[in-house]
Amino acid sequence: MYCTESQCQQGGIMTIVIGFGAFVVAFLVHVIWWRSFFVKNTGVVLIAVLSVSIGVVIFGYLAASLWLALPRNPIALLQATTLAFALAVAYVMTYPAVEVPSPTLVIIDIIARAGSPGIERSALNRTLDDDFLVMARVDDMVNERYVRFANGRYELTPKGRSMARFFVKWRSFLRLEKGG
Amino acid sequence: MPFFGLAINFIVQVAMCRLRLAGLFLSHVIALAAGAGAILATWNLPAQTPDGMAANLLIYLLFSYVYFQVNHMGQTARRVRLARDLEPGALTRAEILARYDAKEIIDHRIDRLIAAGQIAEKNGRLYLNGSAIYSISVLINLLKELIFPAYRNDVRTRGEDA
Repeated sequence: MYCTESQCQQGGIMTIVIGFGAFVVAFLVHVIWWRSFFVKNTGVVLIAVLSVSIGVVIFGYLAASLWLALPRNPIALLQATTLAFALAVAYVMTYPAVEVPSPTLVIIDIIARAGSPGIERSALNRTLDDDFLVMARVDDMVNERYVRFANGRYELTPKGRSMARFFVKWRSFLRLEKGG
Repeated sequence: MPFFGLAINFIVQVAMCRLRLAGLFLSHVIALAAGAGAILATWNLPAQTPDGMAANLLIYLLFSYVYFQVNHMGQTARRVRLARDLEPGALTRAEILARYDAKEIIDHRIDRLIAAGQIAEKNGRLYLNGSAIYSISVLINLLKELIFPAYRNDVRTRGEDA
């Protein structure tokens, strides 16, 4: 038994409420931050903002539980922290699609807006050009410091080189084609 | 407990890929089920409650999604391909664009969406057919408008232009 019967009964609900609560607070801090400042290197800043906010909520709950009659189940609190970080990591993985338009989602959006008459393939090809499909992502990589722009050329930073090598090695380990 | 399920998920997914028993997507589906099964098998352990089990499964599903996204990124992400293209040396804008064919990128994605039943092609015109990816698109657009105050719905303009 890693908790008493009453602790266990309150544990699951406490985990879900505190875990989601901590993530919602962290998400709101992120929204306020992004609306207030021009954020560069968004990936790193996003991870920092979410982690610190979740940490503050969890420690705040711990501190409050010393004075208020709040449930104090260490296992459930650890589980809640894990849940909040799991939500945060899942959001961080989804965030690039929010920041830079994903071609697949844009295609779906345009087709949905065309409605019942539909749309021709050629119209999509005219709309979604190289600038939109490629250079928007290059700019995003410069912003994220995976790539630097110097003397009219784009080159990988050590961070970008590590990412490229990680994916090449990982996909080779899985015996998959290069991908991308 | 969720990490036990994740370990099973990881081992099954890697084994299926390395032994070429399944493609990337199918290997993730089977591994997801194996990991969830391993967590559900602990149902009778002492101190396990329905709420606790639900929390464990939720954490497991979220981390499984992260692992799937990492592999999916390696498969389809333009940033991974760009990073690979830039690894041998620096490139100008024109050199980067020369390596990509916008029509090919669009056609490849349209074909994947048709195969997945999300859109349909009739008499040379494309129509929305499924709701799953469209729902994701709506959610992403809502997030954009919430997070970026100066967000101008470029897609809306592009759609009207088209």
